[in-house]
Amino acid sequence: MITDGVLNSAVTILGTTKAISFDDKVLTYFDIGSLRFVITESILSMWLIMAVLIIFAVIVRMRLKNFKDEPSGFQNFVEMLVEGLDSFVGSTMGERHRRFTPYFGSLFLLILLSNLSGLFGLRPPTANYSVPLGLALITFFMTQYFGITSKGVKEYGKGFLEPMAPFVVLNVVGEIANPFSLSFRLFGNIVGGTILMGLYYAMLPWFLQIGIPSFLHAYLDVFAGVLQAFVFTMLSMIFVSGAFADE
Amino acid sequence: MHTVYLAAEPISRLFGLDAETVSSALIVMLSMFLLFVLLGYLLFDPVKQFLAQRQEKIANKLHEADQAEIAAHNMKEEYEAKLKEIQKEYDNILEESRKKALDKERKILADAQQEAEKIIARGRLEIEREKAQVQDDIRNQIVEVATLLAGKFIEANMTEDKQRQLIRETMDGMGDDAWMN
Repeated sequence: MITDGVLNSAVTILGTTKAISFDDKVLTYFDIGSLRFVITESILSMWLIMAVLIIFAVIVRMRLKNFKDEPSGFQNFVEMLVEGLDSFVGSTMGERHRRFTPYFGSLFLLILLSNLSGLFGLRPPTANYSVPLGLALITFFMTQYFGITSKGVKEYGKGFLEPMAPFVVLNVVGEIANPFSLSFRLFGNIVGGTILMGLYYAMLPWFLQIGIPSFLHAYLDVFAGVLQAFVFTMLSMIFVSGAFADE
Repeated sequence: MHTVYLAAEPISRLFGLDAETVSSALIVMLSMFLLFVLLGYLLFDPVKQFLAQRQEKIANKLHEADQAEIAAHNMKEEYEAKLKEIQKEYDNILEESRKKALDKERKILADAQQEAEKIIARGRLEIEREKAQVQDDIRNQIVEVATLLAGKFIEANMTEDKQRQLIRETMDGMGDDAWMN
């Protein structure tokens, strides 16, 4: 049962009661002024994934001078990755917004690896609501910033009065709701998969834990993970590109 | 309110909507910003720049190849025109040579014909001379034979009639046909 955000269950199978916890363990915390910063297992997982991505990027940077006109092996993979993400940004946001590739490319890689990290025994960072919320807030601030800078404050403000002035409340609420709908979609899918897998492993006898979970992992971790990474990134790109003035 | 919050130890949990979530979201935002800057600097920008440079290089090479192809095509057309000209010149030379050879052939044949006619005429003249010479020789021989016969007639005391008969018979036997051919 969930009490004050804590989900703990007790499952009884064949007379044996097992306690299951899906909580994100607090590893450490520190205070800056009146604000408390908590480092949880999910945040640590996210930093580990970021470290992997940065190490990969450093390796690419070091080997870039050896890249040839006829790619092969590692170079092929790197080119496919960067070109694929660049095309993804170009096709979703439009050719003139390809400069956003580094941000949305990084965002997609981070969410993708975070969603798939459950396969490697890590707690998926996206199963902590702070992670999708933080990422969605970046999208929200980018949307507002580029909306104001490209349209001008007056034109941007007029957008909230469409189609007529009384709709201003609905438009403001709709705008504020975007980061929450974006973050809850990702969080719900990933935490749902995490809980289901946790329950499966805790409730079923050992012989049902051989082979069968791979299908559940394929759907809940791989399929849902890739799909949600794609959806989150694409929606973020649509929000940001939509904020720009039409040309 | 905040003092109370800070006094409490943070608890492990699945979900919450409070200051702790917002502060963690701030950590995520800062981390994401750092990741974006680093991946942009180390991965996306250099690789995109490399790809753009390669694309430009390939485009230049393709352009150069197109130019070279056009130049080669022009050169080919030029050479073909030259070859046609050469062929035409060759045909003219050949035609002229044939004409010259034909004229020469005709001239040679005419000269040969003329020479042959001269030779034939000379031969005929020679034959006529030889014929006249032979006729003279035969006449002389006939005279000698006649003289010889006359001598024999005399020796045999032949009668005048018999002598004449013999001479006539001899002359008839020799006849014009016999000694003129």
